Amino acid sequence: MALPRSLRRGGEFALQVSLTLLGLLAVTFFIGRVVPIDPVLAVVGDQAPRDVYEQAARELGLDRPLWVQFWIYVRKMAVGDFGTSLVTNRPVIEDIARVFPATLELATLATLIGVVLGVPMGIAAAVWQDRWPDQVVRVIGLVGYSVPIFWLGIMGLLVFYGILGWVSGPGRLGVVFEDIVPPITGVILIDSAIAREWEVFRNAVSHVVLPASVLGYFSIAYIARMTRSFMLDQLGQEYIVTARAKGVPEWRIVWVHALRNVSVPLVTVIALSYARLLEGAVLTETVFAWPGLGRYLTTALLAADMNAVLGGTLVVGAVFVGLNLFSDFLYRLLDPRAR
Amino acid sequence: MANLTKRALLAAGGAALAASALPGAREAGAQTPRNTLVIAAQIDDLVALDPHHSFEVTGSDLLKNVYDQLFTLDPTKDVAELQPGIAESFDVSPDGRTFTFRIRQGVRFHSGNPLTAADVVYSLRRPLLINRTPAFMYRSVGLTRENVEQTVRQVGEHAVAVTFDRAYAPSLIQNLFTATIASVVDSRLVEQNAGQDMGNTWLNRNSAGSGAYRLARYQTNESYTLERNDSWWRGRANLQRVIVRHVPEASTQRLLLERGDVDIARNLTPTDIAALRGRQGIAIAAWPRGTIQYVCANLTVPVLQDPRVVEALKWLVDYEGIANNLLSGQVFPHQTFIPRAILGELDRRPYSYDPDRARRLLAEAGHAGGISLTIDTANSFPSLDCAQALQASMARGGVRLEVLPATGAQVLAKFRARNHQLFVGIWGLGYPDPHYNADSFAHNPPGADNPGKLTWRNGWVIPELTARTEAAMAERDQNARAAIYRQIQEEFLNTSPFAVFAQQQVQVAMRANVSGYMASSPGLSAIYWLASKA
Repeated sequence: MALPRSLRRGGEFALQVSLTLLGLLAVTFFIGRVVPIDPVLAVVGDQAPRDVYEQAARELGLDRPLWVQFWIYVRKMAVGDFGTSLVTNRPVIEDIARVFPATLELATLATLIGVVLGVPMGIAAAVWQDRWPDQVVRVIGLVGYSVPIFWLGIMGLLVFYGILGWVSGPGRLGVVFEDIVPPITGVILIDSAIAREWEVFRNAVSHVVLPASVLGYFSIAYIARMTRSFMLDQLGQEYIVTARAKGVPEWRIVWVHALRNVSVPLVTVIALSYARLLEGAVLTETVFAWPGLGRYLTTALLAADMNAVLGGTLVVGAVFVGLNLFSDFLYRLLDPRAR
Repeated sequence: MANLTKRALLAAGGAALAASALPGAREAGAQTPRNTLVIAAQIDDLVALDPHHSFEVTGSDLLKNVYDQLFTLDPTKDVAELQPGIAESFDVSPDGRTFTFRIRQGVRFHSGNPLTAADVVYSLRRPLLINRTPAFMYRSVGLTRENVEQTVRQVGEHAVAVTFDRAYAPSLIQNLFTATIASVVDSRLVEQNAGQDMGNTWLNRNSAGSGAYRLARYQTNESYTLERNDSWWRGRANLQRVIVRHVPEASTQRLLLERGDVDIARNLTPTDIAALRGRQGIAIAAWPRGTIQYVCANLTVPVLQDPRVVEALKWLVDYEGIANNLLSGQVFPHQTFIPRAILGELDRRPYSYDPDRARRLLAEAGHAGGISLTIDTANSFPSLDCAQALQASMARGGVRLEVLPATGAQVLAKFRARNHQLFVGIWGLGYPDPHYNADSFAHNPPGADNPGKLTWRNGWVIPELTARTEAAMAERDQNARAAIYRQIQEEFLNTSPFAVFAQQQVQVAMRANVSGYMASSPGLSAIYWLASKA
């Protein structure tokens, strides 16, 4: 019975995912049609006479009932046709294939920074509760929560690019490095490594390091805070007292016994913070002239470019579902009870 | 804890102070390649690269450097002066309706194809056949999708005739044919790449021109690169390459310029400009644009139907304050609807900020206790800032304004539907001829809805001015034509529901070794081909 059961579970899961995505599409679609922005004007411009306006409205299918528009849209989407963006005049799918890798690059690095620094900081804060390591972590967290990210971005640019000159400025690459590496994945760090263009690679690193650090700082603040509270919770449990009574060394209690139990909720926290970064960080992308998903979606939304908005929303939705799936998988790996 | 936080804040404050003081200390030498002009600009409004589709300033900045038009306005002159382009010369038929253009010989497209009269015919018909926004300019002179086969035709190996629906002033037609829409495209190349849409999709990402530069690379919302056309018929441009990068944030543009990673920062704030002025190695320059800023009153609203109320509003705009403080460097004072540098310009500025006078006018109109109005505006610079300034200046004259900001598209829909009371906005000149603005500010044919016209949107009924605007449109003598526009503008100043308060200029900061670059010209676009670097 093992196979049919796993098949059934797979089927249930697929149904769940497609219903979630369909619901997401429906909500976004209807909100997009209700907001008092006129997508036709985005196409024809301010001064267009009535006949041009009406022709454009017909071409966009806006003269038909709402549910018909939605049905046509979903049918196209089911075969991978996301439509054409009104703003860029290109297929939405191509646009997303171009902007998403930029966001992926930034979000992945930022999350790595957040995990590598945030988790140990959270643990230290919990172990030395109310002593100086805890205070330091708290201040870092507080600043991370309360400073606006665009301010931190501009200040970072001013200091590390403008004054010290340690990193390259805004954008993903310097002017002279553009067009050297053929795009394969769209992630410049990977593409340049594949092409063995190490100068391009170095230039890309010096461009990405600052925005990734700025975003990473916010991940650190969040992850460290959550790690601290999960750890404190575990360190007060009876099994820790038992371990101590048995004479288990303190480092082992912290890093093996407690961390093992913390890892499950922590995975959720990290996955969520990664997913949030993958939606695109509009302000960071704007300050650093980073052509990512956040800026693309914002521009599209302001122009009522609903094809682009819906396509982007679907990608973000799929990312959330994917990361959920991945953290479910990790649960099973980390927690024997979930197997 | 409290101590630590305070210390952290002090440290951060110290860093910020040091940062703002230091940039002057380190002046990096220009790091951009010698033969390349690198510009940081906001280009996210660049949606169409097809010259017969594009209708934004950002688009014409690119396209005027890539395509040749039938005529051109001399970029080195301060006031619009017509020059031949692809059309070497022209004749007008006795009835004034048919223009015959002689096509310049020996011009080649970037592809190597020779430019022929057939290309010109194709390029004049195409805007109407693809029917995108700018096609309205050709329709306004009687060319339509249906008649274009007959009205635009080749009449000899090197001549093209165009027949309009009525007699037009030759200067109007020439000015119209300097616009981006009058770009001549390489018809053979376009047809090779055309799908169902006469190459519209293809041309929106590629170029097929004969101009100073060809489009080498274009990424929406990221950057474009132009490469020099070495065999341009006007003579080779100075710089081999022009790269325009999209940098949305003004402070980021400034940093790039200070570090020498770009040669020109195109969209700086007045604060940035003030900080850069006098800095060694950096020059500030400004050029007038065709865009004017205005506030208007909807005459279909009962309280605004009394002319005294409208006049009072005109005395409550702080013209000097807006030009000198609020938008310092970005605009100059201007009160008529034809922008400076364009035929028929009139530099008359009868209005000033006078709250007492406005109060008297309101009292005469029976509103001694003042009135309350709403003002619609886009929630972006500069309109929102102007709306707030108007709120403050009008309050002193007894007019309480409620500012209603919304996204540009939302506000426009409301404006076009005539659902506003006051509206503050900007108006760009589509092609460099006075008729373009007169058509919207002083023309409102009765008996029809014209949501495209500002006169209609404000319910301004003007049969007499409408007739005069039509007369100016046909006047063959350029000086007589300019005189009619000046009369119309005098009348406009007295009786219209509009208060034009400023004309925009482009102010840029650039590395001091750049010369010849123009961020705007009488032809309403940037000029790259005259730029050079020392």
